[in-house]
Amino acid sequence: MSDLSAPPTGLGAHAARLPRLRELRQMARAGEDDRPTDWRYHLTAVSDRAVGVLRDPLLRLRLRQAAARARRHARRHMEGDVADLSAALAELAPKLRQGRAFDARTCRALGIIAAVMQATHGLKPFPSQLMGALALYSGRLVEMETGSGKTLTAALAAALAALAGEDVHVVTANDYLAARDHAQFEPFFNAMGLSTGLIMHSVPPPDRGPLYRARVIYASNKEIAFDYLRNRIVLGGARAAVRLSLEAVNGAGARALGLTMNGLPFAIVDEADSVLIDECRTPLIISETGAPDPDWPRDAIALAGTLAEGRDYTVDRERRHVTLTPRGETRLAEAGETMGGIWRNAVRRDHAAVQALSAEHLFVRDEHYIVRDGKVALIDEFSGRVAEDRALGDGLQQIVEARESVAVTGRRITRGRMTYQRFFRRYRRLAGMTGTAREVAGEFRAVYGLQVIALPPHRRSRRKYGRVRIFATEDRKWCAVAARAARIATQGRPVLLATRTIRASMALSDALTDAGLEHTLLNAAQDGDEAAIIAEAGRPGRITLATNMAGRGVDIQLDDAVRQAGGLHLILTELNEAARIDRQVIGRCARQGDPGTCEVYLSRDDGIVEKFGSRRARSFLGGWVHLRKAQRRAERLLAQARLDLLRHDLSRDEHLGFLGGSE
Amino acid sequence: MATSFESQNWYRAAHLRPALARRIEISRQTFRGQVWYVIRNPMTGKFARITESAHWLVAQMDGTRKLGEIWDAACAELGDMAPAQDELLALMTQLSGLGLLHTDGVPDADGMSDRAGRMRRRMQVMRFLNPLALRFPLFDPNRILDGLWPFARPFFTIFGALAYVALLVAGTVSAGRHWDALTGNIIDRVLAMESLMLLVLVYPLVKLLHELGHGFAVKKWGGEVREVGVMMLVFIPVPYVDASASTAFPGKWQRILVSAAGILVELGLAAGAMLLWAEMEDGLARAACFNVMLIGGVSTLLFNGNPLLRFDGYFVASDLLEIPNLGTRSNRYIGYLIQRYLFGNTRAKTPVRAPGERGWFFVYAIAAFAYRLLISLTIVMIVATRFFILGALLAIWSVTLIFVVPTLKHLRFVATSPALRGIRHRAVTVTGLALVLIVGLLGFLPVPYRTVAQGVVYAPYEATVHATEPGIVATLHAAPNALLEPGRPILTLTDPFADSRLDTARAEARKYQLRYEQALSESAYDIRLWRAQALRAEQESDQLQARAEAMVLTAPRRGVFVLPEASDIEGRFLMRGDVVGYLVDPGELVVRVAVHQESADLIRSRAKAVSLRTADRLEDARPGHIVREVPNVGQRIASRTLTTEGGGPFALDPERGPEPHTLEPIMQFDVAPDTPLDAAAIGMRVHVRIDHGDEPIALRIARRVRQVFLSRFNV
Repeated sequence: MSDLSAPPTGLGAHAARLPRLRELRQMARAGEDDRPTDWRYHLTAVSDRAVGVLRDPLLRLRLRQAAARARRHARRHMEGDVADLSAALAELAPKLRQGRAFDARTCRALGIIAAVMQATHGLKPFPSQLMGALALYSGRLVEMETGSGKTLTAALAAALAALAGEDVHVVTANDYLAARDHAQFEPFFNAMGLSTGLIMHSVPPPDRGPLYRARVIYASNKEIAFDYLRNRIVLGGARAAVRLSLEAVNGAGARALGLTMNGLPFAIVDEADSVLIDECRTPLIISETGAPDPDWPRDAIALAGTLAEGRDYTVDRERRHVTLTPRGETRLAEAGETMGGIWRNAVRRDHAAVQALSAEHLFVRDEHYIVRDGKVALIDEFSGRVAEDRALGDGLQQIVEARESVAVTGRRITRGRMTYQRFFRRYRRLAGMTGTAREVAGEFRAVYGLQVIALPPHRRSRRKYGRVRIFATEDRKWCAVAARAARIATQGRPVLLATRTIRASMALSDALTDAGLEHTLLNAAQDGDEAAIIAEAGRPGRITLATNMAGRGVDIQLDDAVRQAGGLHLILTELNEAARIDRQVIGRCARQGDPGTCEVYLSRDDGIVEKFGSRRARSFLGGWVHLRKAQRRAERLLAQARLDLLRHDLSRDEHLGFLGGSE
Repeated sequence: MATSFESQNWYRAAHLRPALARRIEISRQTFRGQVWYVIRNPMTGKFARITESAHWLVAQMDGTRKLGEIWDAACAELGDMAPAQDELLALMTQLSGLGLLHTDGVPDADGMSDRAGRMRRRMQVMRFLNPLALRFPLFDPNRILDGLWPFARPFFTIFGALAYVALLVAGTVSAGRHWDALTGNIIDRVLAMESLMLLVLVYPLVKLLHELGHGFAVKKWGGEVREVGVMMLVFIPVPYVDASASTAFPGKWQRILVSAAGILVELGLAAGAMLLWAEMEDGLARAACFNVMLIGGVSTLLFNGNPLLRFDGYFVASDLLEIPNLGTRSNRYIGYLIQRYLFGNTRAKTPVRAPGERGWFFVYAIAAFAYRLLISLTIVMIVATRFFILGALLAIWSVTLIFVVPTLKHLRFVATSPALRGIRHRAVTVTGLALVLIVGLLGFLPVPYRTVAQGVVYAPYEATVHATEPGIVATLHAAPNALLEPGRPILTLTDPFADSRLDTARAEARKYQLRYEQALSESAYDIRLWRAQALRAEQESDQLQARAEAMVLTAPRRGVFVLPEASDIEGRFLMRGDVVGYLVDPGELVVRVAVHQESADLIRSRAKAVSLRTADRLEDARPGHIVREVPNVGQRIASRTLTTEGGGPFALDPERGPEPHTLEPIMQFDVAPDTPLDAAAIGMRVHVRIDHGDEPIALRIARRVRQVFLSRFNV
């Protein structure tokens, strides 16, 4: 823990702008826990479950005792004013550094912090929140019921860690949440003399240096990871901290000055399953845009036009790839010969054709991308949001653009690349919280070394589950959903209809319009004031339509009339790629002891059934079991894809180490 | 997805200026009409074999050009042959890993040293994983070889070659002339203790010359030999040299000669030793010569010269066939065939690169596996007979290495390999079926289980007619194969001395009678003396008289008279106790069968059916049953017919006699045929087949193993 010692002083004004040696060292550190990805990965994942059976209750017991202690301290300090409390904390802080996670000093500090929280915000932390804060502080992944005040828990833990001398990154799923949480708890941190920073997309990356000097930083996963990647690119091949600091002292510290970040100290990840698992399917890539070449996609599409499915190529829609048959390759060779130029090269030619065919068969407008303002923007399948910065690689983006007859952009030339898995593995300490983690506890353990601990809810859930209904076709399902929504809405209850994709939400919206029902549509195509809409969604009789992740992390507030009427009614209109996500969505109704009901309406031609279902699932015999089977298959394939990505990233380093260190 | 031409990792490499390492050798080699380049680092001995287009790229890497520029140039220059960016990166990874290439980038030193450490540990584990071939590098022999080179140079001239051929021819001719003397009783000679000692002394010497041969051959074409060491091959220290410099030799025959040099040296030594052996008197030197021949001949044939094991012969064959890396690639080819045709993986890549390789791959992979199995098992057997525990451990080890490890690897591949995505169901099914088939065949399919042994037709002791007196057979009264009643005369023996002895005795009796009569009148004392003498002489003559009468041999019991050598019985001299013939009741004839001790338990516990074929009527199988086990389990065998001397399976112990004793412990038992044997068949060889009923092979192996353990631990 020597890194935590105070920075050297007396270097003068110039030096003050320079990153400290400690920071350089932290940025230069590329080391990460190299948890294995071979068979031991699976062993860890499986054994974690087995061990957890005994371990978790014991841990919960310890947490409960420690939280009770903290509560006693909190009560004792209830009357003290903020100045006294922070003085007490300042006295306690140096001792915290040597302390262990659940020892007396830590409990006492937490108790005082809780008292500060009450003093500044009037919020008295529940025991479960104290437990959660301790679990987070000890570097675990906490599973708490949705709507049980995770944000506050994170703030407590962050304060505790910051007092103990660690810099803390509170990582959220998006900028909105980061800003909201930061705004909410800034007074709380400031009261204890802890500086806070908020990293937003709107702040240009070079100006973020001062923000990162704060003790507690709120940022979305994307911003912080990209910042890190940018910093690593600045570092280039030179990773030796001493060398960097010498450069800095010599005044040739351009490189060191380009650094904005302060290493990766301790991260508390909110919505951990979404950030650490779901979003990890795509690596972070920083790229520059090259000169546009409109001819290439046009030629590629023309080339692909000469081929016929089945004869010249096959499309595997489940694994999302196109394979050329030998016959197709010959056909392309003939075409390439007449086209000349780069089309003579077999690899380039076949690749272009495959990309063009993928664009034609595998990328569907409004499901995978939308066209807006003359641009093709990708839709993140998971968040349902438009991923502004993201573009398809390998010329695919250009082909899609050419197909949609918008201006062809230049190809992106990669400058840095990293997977989220490896980014988060590089944190010195990692903790997280989410509503749904136990399904992927093994993965958390094997990839991040995170132990999942489920904490009991503060209030008993009053959610009631309705029957699962399965329809033959999507159209029938939409009609039924519309009818059902209308009926519930007339009872004066709000209805939330959750869809998986934008396309589905559009279709459902049409069905509702046909039925003459007024509704609000919330999806990636119009994200902006999501939170406001979501907050409104609790009004009596309101029908809201949301893609599965839209407005995540925002509570739907109910008034008493609605509570009387039975609370929010949620209809899950499609199974998601993971049962965990279904659970998340369902968690939006009946929060924090509110009443609520949920129902599941499915059809046998839902996307997930089409893609992953057996023939039986798609036939009229397909029942709940078969649809669940399709979902499980999707879960498996996605987990495999994530592991593959990580493995690939690791092996890439292994192989290309001679070229220089990775980002 | 089709191979992308552009790499996602290109940004990490495009701006770097790669350069080939300073001291490397590049040579052009042709394999089956395809041009390859071998890049080799002479200091480390590591090398890579690259294609022509890869060579074109590598040749551009001089530290002044950026990789991006090199690749652009390659695309313009090579067209369709240009490698994809990923392929180029893979090539560079390979070359830099071998220390043949570096870039101006700052390598990820920590990561690389971590990996190097991991690799080293893995190599160490690998070393001890194969205790049959441990390597201990000793020193750099380059200078010594340079110093000795003037002495070796003459051998590498045309005259040297001619002299060598002449030596080989002379040796071969000599060996042909003395073939019988050479090979007679070879096992006994080799396994005698002093011979083994000598072998242990001579072996390293021969191998040292062998390795010198490699070293000088490398020197001949300007290569360097940088490592010499000792390899523990089946616990026998054998020197080795690192002749990898030859991989960079451009000429096929140069490489072949380097690989073959060791064998050539040994063959030369063997030929020389043969010539000396033929001329020498018995003694230590002659034995040493014999051992040199043994090593040069046998070890060359079985190990070194055999292309199926990865020793010298393998490299010779690999170069001769112009298939580099034959062993690995042929195994990969089998893997490819399985993937492609059994699993239906159309994406599988074949290792076949040149015409004609396919067949070799197929044949080689299977033959090498079978041979390796055979050799391993043989080594295990030999070691096990001397050091049982060690042998048992070795056996477990070999089985693990040959069967278990590859099986596990295969299973892991089937279970986890990304190459099988989408067809894993089929792969698992096929593998499962194969396993079920193998387990079924070995573990459940009953196969006939039999012991085949030899025996002799054996008469019980009481049926044997012995000569009661010594004598010459005068007349044969009984006809052979006739049924005789007890008391019937069989033959008359004449003793040419019996009559004269009787006459002498009678004369003596008479003499004493007369003395007695004379003494009656002379002395009372003499009376008594001569009377006693006369009485004794009388008795003796009576006895002789009786014996002269007993010269007629009568049948002691009822039975068919069998006379094994009927034609020449008359006039033969028989000692008392000699077997004249047999009087047998055909029903009591049995076949005495000898088997190795190991089969005893099986025969005792499970003899379902026994069938016999006598040597005179091999086409007739007659049923029989085991009547008794001959109690004296020992090494004394019933008849010489069953020993190697008599054409049987058991070797005689030369140190025990005169009764025949076998070297190995045996068990004998009597089989009674259900239909009586012909009495005349006594002493005849009988082939016996004991049927143990059908049993799966796995059970049979288990039984065998258990038995070996039981016998070893004397339980």
